[in-house]
Amino acid sequence: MKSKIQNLGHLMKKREIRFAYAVVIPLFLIYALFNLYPIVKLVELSMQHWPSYLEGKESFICFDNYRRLFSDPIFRKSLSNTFYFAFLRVSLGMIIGLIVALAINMTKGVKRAFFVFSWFSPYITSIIAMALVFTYFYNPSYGLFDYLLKTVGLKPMRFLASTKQALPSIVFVDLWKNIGFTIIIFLSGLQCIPQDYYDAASVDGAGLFYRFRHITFPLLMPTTMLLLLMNIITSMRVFTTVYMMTSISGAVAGTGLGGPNNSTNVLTLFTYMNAFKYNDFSYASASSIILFLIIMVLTLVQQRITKTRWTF
Amino acid sequence: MKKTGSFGKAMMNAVLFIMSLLMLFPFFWMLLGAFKPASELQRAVPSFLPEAPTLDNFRQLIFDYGFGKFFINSLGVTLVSVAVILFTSSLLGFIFAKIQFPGSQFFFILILASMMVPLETKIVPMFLTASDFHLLDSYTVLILPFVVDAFGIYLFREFIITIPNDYLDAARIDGANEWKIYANVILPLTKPVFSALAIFSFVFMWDQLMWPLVVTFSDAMKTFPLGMVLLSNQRGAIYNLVFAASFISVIPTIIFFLIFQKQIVKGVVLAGVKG
Repeated sequence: MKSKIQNLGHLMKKREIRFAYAVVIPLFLIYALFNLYPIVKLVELSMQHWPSYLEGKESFICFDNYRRLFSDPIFRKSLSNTFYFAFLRVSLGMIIGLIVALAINMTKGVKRAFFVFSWFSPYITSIIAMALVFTYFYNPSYGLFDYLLKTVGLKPMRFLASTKQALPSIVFVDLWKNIGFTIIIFLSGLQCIPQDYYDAASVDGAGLFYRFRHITFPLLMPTTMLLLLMNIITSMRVFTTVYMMTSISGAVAGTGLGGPNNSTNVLTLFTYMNAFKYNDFSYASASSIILFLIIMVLTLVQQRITKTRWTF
Repeated sequence: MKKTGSFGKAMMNAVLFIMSLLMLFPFFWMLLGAFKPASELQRAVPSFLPEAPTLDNFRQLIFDYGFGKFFINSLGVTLVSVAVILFTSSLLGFIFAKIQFPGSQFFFILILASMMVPLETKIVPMFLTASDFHLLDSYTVLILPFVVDAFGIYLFREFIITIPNDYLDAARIDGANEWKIYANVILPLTKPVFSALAIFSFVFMWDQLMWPLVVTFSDAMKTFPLGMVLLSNQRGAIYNLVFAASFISVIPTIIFFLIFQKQIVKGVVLAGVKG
């Protein structure tokens, strides 16, 4: 009897394992084809010389592509633009996001639902569509922003057509689109703070700022760190907003993708242009590797941080 | 937070209210702009409400620019992808959470590790792979790379691991095989993850630009976003059509939002904190 049950258990275990393999292996192969194999291929490509996709000549040149990258002023510009973009978008997003979340957290019911809806809805709508709508606002001849500036008696600005203003103008749109995520996560973090702490502080006569400094801020630290890293990573990956906003403004200002004088060129766009406009796949791969390394370091830091216990 | 004066609180609410309306302003402008003719949009003094509302923009989009086809392409690709992503993620999440088999760690860790490599960094070799398999300019190439989703698998696994094994054993004693356990025990318990992932993958697939831009060439394969790229010509964007197309492009998202309205915020928090 006992051996029969063991036998049955053994059979079931075998059936389970067969089921697992039958599902996992084919799906894993599809996954590997588009996710793992390309990583290996990327490293290989980045060390080859392959000036044109159509010619198909390849030779192994080690780190020459990387040397070329760092002596390429457009690449250096793209690299610094990417960091500048991330810096602006993350710092503004975190500060404004926290303030708005704190304010929303004090409201209840319908008001709260309306606030959450209005700040969150850009996050789930199409950035492709809305980036184009914003290029209309920025338009130098009939745009709304310049019209408003003129109405209040200020000098009109050139926004996307200006080397200085183009990147911040794009940051503004990307911020509008993504801030809802930061706010939602902050709100969920705020809800995890027990009300008792605030009640106790009130009894002791603590003011608003004191309560923020000694209760809200430290207890919100894990959420803040998580959001910080996630925001940096998504900013480093920005492509769609920049592509949509410079392909249109380019037509207006005569500058094209990457903005006036490459002032809005970022790493993803640099890779895209080199691969799919100039057909230099190996050079584009080398710049992909640089972005990959940056993102990998950030992701590892993020994983460390989510495991760290923050106590004060 | 009770100590804030009522005047201060009212002021703060007023400021927040105005800012919230400003957040929604681009949507209002886009919705109204969709019904304005080109001439009205190119005046030095912009009008807010359309002076002579017209549906001509939509007619032009569909009949002159082929947006009907783009829309169907995008909707088809998105819905098929979302359905397959939900299926593969829940199934693999179940297997990695509840079945011990040799190599399970190996497969799972490899899948997780590659989450560090976003699409933007591997676009070149992905394109070359698609090209090697003669998949370029097809529906397959728009869907296949995304049907096994590391993030989705991770999300489902984390959730399913908390389901007590007793539930599974009870079903096994009743003679259920693995598919039955997956369909009758696991799926009904994973509803929150289901809607979270549905929303995320819908928004991601619907709003994809880089991959379709690179792998499609013919108009028959173009997705809605690529149609919007077409609307920018040498003289700048055709804004009356841009607004109308933007209007159309947010409709599916709004419908999706209404379906999952209740779970959407919960879902974002769940996914955000886990991710």
